[in-house]
This record gives sequence, structure tokens and C-alpha cells, in this order.
Amino acid sequence: MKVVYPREQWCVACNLCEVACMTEHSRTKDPLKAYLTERPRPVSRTKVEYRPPLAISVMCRHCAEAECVEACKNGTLTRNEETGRIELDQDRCLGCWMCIMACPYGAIGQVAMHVGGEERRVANKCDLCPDRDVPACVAACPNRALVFEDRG
Amino acid sequence: MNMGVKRYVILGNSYAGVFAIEAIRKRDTQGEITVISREPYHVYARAAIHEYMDGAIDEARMYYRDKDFYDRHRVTTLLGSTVAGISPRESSVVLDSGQKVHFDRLMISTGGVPITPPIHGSEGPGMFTFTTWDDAKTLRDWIKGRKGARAVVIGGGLIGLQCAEGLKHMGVDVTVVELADYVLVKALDQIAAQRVQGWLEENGLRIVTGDTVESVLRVKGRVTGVRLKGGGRLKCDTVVLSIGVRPNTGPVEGSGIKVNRGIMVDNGMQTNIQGIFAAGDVAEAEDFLRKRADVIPIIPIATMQGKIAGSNMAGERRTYPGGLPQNAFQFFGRSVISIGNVIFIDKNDGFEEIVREEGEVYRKAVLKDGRLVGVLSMNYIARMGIYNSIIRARMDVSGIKDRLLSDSFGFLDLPKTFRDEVLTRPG
Amino acid sequence: MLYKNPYNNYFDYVVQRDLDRCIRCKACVTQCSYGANFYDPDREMIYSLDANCVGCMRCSTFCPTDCIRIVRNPDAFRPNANWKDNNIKDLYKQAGTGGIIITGMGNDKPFTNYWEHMVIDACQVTNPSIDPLREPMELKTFLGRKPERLEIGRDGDITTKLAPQLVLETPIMFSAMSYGSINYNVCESVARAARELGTYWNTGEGGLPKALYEYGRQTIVQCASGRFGVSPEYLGAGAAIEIKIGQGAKPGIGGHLPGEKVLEGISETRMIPVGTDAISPAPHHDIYSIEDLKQLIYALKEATRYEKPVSVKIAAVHNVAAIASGIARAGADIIAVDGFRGGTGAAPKAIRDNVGIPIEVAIAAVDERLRQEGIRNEVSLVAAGGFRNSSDIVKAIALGADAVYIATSALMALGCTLCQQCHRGRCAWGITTNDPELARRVNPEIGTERLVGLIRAWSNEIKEMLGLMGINSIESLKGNRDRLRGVGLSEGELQTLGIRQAGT
Repeated sequence: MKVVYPREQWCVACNLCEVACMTEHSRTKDPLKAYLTERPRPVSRTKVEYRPPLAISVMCRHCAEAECVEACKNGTLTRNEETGRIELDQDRCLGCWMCIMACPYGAIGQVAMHVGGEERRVANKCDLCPDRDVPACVAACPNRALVFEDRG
Repeated sequence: MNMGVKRYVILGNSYAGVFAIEAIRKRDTQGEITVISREPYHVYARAAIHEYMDGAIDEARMYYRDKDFYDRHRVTTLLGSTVAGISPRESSVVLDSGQKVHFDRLMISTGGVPITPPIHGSEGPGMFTFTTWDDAKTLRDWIKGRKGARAVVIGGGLIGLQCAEGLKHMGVDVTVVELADYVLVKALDQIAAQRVQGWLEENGLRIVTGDTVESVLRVKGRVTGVRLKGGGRLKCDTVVLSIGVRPNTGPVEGSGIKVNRGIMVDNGMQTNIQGIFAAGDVAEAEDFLRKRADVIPIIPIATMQGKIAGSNMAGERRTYPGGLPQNAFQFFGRSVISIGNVIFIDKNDGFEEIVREEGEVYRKAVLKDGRLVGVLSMNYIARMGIYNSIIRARMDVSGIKDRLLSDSFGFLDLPKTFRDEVLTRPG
Repeated sequence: MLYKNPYNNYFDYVVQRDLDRCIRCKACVTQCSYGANFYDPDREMIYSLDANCVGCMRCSTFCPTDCIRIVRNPDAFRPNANWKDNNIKDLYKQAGTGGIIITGMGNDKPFTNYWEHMVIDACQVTNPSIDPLREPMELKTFLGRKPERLEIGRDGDITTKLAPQLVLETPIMFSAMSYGSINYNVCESVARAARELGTYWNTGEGGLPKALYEYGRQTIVQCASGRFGVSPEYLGAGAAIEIKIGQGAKPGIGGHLPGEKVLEGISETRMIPVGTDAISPAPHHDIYSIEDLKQLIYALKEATRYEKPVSVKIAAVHNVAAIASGIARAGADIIAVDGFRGGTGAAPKAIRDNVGIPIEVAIAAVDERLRQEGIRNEVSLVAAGGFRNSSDIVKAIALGADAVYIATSALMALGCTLCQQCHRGRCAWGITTNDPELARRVNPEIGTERLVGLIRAWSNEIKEMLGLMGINSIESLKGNRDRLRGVGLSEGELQTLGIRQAGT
């Protein structure tokens, strides 16, 4: 199954993967509006770690036996048997953060979501951009430090 | 055996069961799977009953898997059925109704039951336990029926406090009575526990520690209050008993299946009787850190055990890597995550503590002989799971102690070999 | 200007940031290697220190909302045709430092660019042009000594013993850039591209990193005055050996790789201790005459059993034709001439901008002289120094070059924006730096693709131009100055270039 892999030796810490991810997962799909006017503000699902001279962008691996799925309280996180992708249904999420505790990649974050006029924090993680051929972060990476590959 | 078609029977309908079913079906598309549960519900999120009770989540979000989960996995369910006994000799489970269900492989995942010590006056209305969906519904309906309800929750463990928070959200005046010197004594250290206690008190809960309920006071059968061992009295109309949960080993009594605290299993989750497995809160399996058997009643362990048991029931040979205690919980919007051992620290035995306290944030790491064995974090929980991988890898972190608890801690602080291993291969 | 000497505070660029469009992604902050952009967490804003900006455009190209403009500092000295801005600023700088001004890349002064005063002929009616998409078009080029005559055996095979040749699929090679002045990723990009294109790259004087020995058959290994990295294995690894006498950007002076750039891999390759300055002397201390040069040429041929062509590279200077003649007679197989627009990793600005001659006239002078002396066939002539596009190359070959070397253009394909800061070792595009964080910015996968793309594009254009001249082989263009005409040149210039005035 194809997932996004970081290639640390080519990461230049430009953060464009984060910008692309935030934009792709915004309502307007426009980086300016996503950041400046959308509320709640969308949050990138990949995390650029930067400790000069090193940098790396880390996101969900869509594990074959995902520890987030095994820890999730109410089935918000499930594995799609057809695609193999680990799916997160934010509408179901209880915000219990068992997944944050479980994910060995530190790849699950939080994002605010409006439900019926109320703001609620839910889990947030890479969905491999189902509307795109190549995930946004990979497409935005100027140095091929992120690749979309099937490594078996 | 029916033309080589294996018959799998699973007792209990919760986290371990679901993962066992998924593991079996991945390997055996033909076998017959039967789930037997005394509860009448489709598989639900047991750990969210307090949020259901106070209305934070609706029924739809309570179900752990889609309604068609059993159909898709071709599972026969016998819900609302209580097990009377297990006969390993006949390879059958006998139900209360007298019905016999034969199996080739059996998994016992009957979970836990609340501990209910005899307390004077505890018989009668106004007295509740809090471990099932029905418990939550019953308590909710009881509270809804009375104005200005006052409740005493006996036990300041996780379930007790979650129930107390739920009651508070429903407008109930709540007092928690905890025997130990502080709440969450099994999960947190004293500093962390006192911070949690502070959050609860800020939100109007009363916490009594170092004391316990001696008797429930009643007038004409109605609860009017409790008397504490220390001599005090608390006025109330509702009492919730949540001093703990024990493995629900009742169904295996007399079967010859070995029980210590829970049902004893080997590293393939099999009991002393071949073909019979156990998983989840009822099972006593290897503790990853202490390397001895224990019952660790948490979701990720139940599901992992269910997965291992199911795989092995279907003929694979998978080994349980040992359970790592961990938990994530919130009170009034503030979060705590603890992983591994954050409590049992003997500085003469190679343990070392690193603590970072900054305003609302409290973080602690525990090292044993330089290796990370536990992490606790309050109000800053980003990327906590990375510590899970470090503990699992038994990694020596003595060289990165200064970075270990920083907000920006991540893979770049860890050895390159570890990063390459973890981040460049399929998960 | 707080804490700064006012005389040094006349900076060149201003970073304009449209704060309404800034999303605080910090791409500009992490990408600037000169500290010109910074994030202020207190105000949650990104600001710039304009004085640090070198105009490399790294930040503006990375900005995802295009909110950055790098503009010339509009601060203006009173206009003065004699005292241009850079004269004034350099003077202030030197008064403050007492030092030589060092810079990078090639001569940027507005000397006459002769390529822009030459036009190419085309066929009309009487001789048909050729469509390169329909007809075969040959760019294959052989570099090395050619025999005076060929003897053919009865079976049709050549029986004359031929000198060793470099075989190029296109008459464009990558010029000398040392490992150290550019980093390993750039070397790898260039080496891989050379292999893919069927041409050659040149190690410069930095030696050949062990990991790049696999590209040896596409490599010209240099032997320069410092002899860095020269060993029997090194000489054996290359396809040809080049003796570097001079460089177009700094004729007559040596090179200096500062010790801080001599890191582990560079130290190993150059065979000098980590952290020591790598100083290439101005002259080769064993070469004071054509005879001395001949000794070195034959020593190298002897060391490689006469299997590899030996090239001698010189800077284009006043007497270039006579020097080239001497080099040919000393036994070189290839003469590389580097014009004064050729780049460098570091050179004194005064020298870069004022010493040497344009490559256009040097090609014409050398080719003419070698023809006159009847030894043109004994050496191939490779021209270097400021080729910007395919038409420059076509004109160079028509003037008499066999092939060209490019380096500045190659680095531009990898991102270089000619900001001229190579000597500082902080190249924001990750090219002329060994800082591991910055060097990562050139991913050789991408670098190779872009270099291959550039040379393919130019090669196709060269074929188009050959076709319109009715020529189907680059061989037929060599020294074919009749296909060039001059526009706007003086009689003397036309004569030196050996071309006629347009319209005649």
C-alpha cells in the first residue's frame, strides 16, 4: 500500500508540506484564507521536526496493525479493509486522546471543529488526501523529501 | 468437527472480542464464529459511558463498530445470554437457558466486574455501580428524576472520578470519597494526582481523601447520607460504588481453567487448556516492564490480546509482546497521559526521575538504568506516543535527558539508526 | 543601523513582505541562510533584516503565498556616471575593512558581449535547410589529437594508429568545479548527468570522492598547482587528465579553499588534514616554460600508459594564441581556454572584473593561430567562460571551438541565482556550501534531471540551428566563420573575430 515516507537526507525544513496539508484540509483550499480567516483554523497533519542541521516531516504510516486503532475508545479510528488506509471519523471522535498516547510515530494531533455552534477538539491525522492522486504534502515538497511509495 | 470448519466461540462482546473476530476472519473465512454476551447491546464503547450519561455523546457515537459489523464478519451473536459453565471435556459452553454451544476454539473475554464489598445499608435503591452502558442509563434516569440531587462516589479511581465528572455536568452536587491519601493512586504520582484533584475542586467537586464510607444511611429505605469511617457524615441521595473492578472469572469456575487474579494465559494467550484462550480485562498476561503476569485492564492491551488470541485460534503462532500499562484521560477539558511505570520508583534500584514543571504543564520521565520506563504528562500531550516506541525499544535515553521532556522532543533527538528503522519502513 | 558603522550600511536589497498575505509558515525564515528573515514570537510576525539580504531570492521562491518581493534598495546616491553605486559601496567597505574584496561567480561588468553582436546565417532557396525532426543530425564530437592523414586498410578499416579521444554525444561538457567549492551533492548531480548525456564532467582541483569513482569514465580529472587529490588511482580513474594552469575568473592567481570548508570528505579526497587551508599556488612550481609543461604532460601520459588524452586549461589572456600554440607543441591533446566571464567560487573582485579577455575573441585568435601554424588538427579546442544558451555555443563552434565547457549555467540549472556569495560558504541554494543543512538542498535526483533537461534542450536547439544552416553534422560547423556575421562591431573587432560585417 502506498503511503508517504520522509527522506530525511533531503528535507530542507521549508514547512511547505505543512502549508499544503493545512490548505488541502481547509474548506477554501486556499492557503491564505485557510490560515487567516477560516475558524477553526485547519491544522497540518504532518509535523516538520527541525533541529538544525536536521529536519524531517513525520506523518501517519497507516500501519498494518495500527496502535491508534487498537487504542481508540469508540471506533473513531478504523482500518479500511479495501484501501488499507487508517481512517479517522472526526464526527465520532470523543477527544479522549488514547490515539495520541498510542501512536508510536507521534503522528496524531488535535484540531478544533465546530459542531452545532460549539467548538470541540478532535483527533487529526493524515488521510493521504483522498481527493488527490498524490498527497498534497508530497506534491508540495520541493526537494522530494517526501515520497508516496509502496514499500510492501 | 463439521467438514473441517472450525467453530470459534467468544465470550464477551467488547474490545478484545472485536479484535479477535477481525484476526480470525483475516485468516479463516470459513469458520463459524459465535459471540456470547450477557449484555443485550451491539458492541459499544464501554470506556465512554460517563460521557453518554451526561449527554456529551449520543447513542450513535457509543457503538464501537458499524451495525453491520457482525454480518460482515459472519458472526452469530447470542446477546443477552449468560454463561452457566464451560466444559473443556465436551468442548462446550453451557448457557443459563440450558443451551450448549460447542467450540473448537474458545476465547474468554468477559471483562471485569465491579468490586462490591459489604457496606451496611448498601442494599436497596439509590445505590449504583458504574461499569456498563446499563449502569450509565440507570444512573442517568435516577438523577433525571430528582432535583438537587446529591451524590457520594465511593472510590477516587479513574471510573469513580469520570462518573463524578459526569454527574457534575448533570448538575449533581458530588463528593468523592477516596481511602488513599490522594486520588488516582494507581495511575499517577502524588503531584499529578493533586493537580487533578485541584481541577476537580475548581469545578465544584468535593474530594474527601484518607477516609471511606462505613455505612449508607437510609430513612424509610431512601438514602439520606453516608457515614464515614473517620466519623463524618455526608448528606446524599445517591451513592455510586466504584472502588475497583476485578476480572470476571465467574464463567470459568469449576472448568479447570487456571485462575490467579485473572485467567492465566501463556504468551500465545492460551489458558492451561489447549484450545481455550483468554484476553482483555479478565486475562492475566505478561507485563512488558515487570516481566511477570498481571491483569492490566486497558483498551490497547485488550485489543492487542484479542488480536493475538484470535490469530492463534485461527492457527497462526503469534506471541504476545507483553502489555505496557498506559492511559489517557481528561477532566474538565484538561488532559493527562501516562505510559509505563510512573509510580514505583526506587532510587536505590537504578531508577531516576526527570521532572519538568511549567505553569499548567507537568511532565515526568522515569528511567531505569538509563532506559526509559515511564512518562507522565499533564496539559501537554502532543506526540506522546513516541515515548511508547522508546519504552518498547528499551532505549537508553541517558544521553538525551535534557531534551526528553521538551515540547519539541521528537525523532530528531533519537539515534539515526532508530529513525531510519522506524520511519522508512511500512508501519 | 544600530551598532553598525554608517559607512557600511548601504545595503543592496530590501525584503518587502505583504503582511496581509503572510501565513507565518516560516519558509522564508528557515530558507534564508544569511539571517535576513526572522520570526518574532512576541508579535507573531515575520520581519526582515534587509542589510543581510544578498538578493538570492530563495525566500521569495519558497513563499507559498507569494507575499515576498526582493527589490533593489531604492536608497539612491546622487547619480554620477563616474561613481556608480558599486564603486561607492566597495570603497566604503574597504575603508572599513582594509581588505581585498572577495566575490563569487563571473565578471558582471558591462563589457561588450560579442555573442550579442554576431548573427547566424540560414539557407534560403538555393541550398536547402534540413529539418532535424526528419533527418539525422549529428552532434557527436571527438576531442583529442587527430592524425594528419588516415590510412584505410583493404577491408575498409582505419589502419592509422589514433590518439586517445574523448567521445561526446553533444559538444557540451561540465567545466571544472572542485569538490569543496561545491558540495558532494552537486558533484554527484553533475557526474550523473554527464553519464546520462554521454558527455564529461571535470573534478576541478578538488580530487574525486571515492563514491564518485563509478563515474570515472565520464570524468576529466584535474591536476592543478596544489596537486590536491592527485594519485595514481585518481589519474587512472578518469577518462582524461587536465592540467590546470589558469582560470578565466582569476587569471594569474591561485586558489584558496579556507580551512573551515575542509571537512571530513573533502579532507580525504584532497589528501590534506581536516581544517587546513587548501592553497593552490598561482603558478605550478615545476612549470616555468613550455618545456616544463611538456614534461608534466608526458609524465601524466606515461603514468596512464598513453591511454588518456591530456588537456591543458588556461585563462584567456592577451597572448592566448601564442600560449596555445606552445601548449599544442608541448604535446597536449586538448586545450581548454577560459574566458573572463567564467565563474569562480572566490576571487578578488578587482581581478575578476578587470583581468583576462572575452572567450569570443580568444577562440577566434587561438583557432586562427593554430591553423596558420598548421597544427590545428593536433589539438582540440574547448572554450569556457560564460555560455548562457545554445546560440552562444553554436557561435563558439563556428568561431573555431570543438566543444564548450559550462559551469555557471549548470549551477543555475541547480538553482543558482548568481548572487555572488559563493565565497561565504552559506549558499542558500545549497550549491557552494558544505554546511550539511544547506547542502541537502540539492537533491542529486532532481539535480541530475535538471542538468540533463538543460543540455537536452540546448542540444535540440543546436540541431535546429544546424538544420537551418543546411548542416547535418556539428563537425561541419567547426571554424565555419562564414556562417557568422557581425552587427555593430568595429573593423578591428570584425577582423579579430575573423567574421564579416552583416550585409556583406
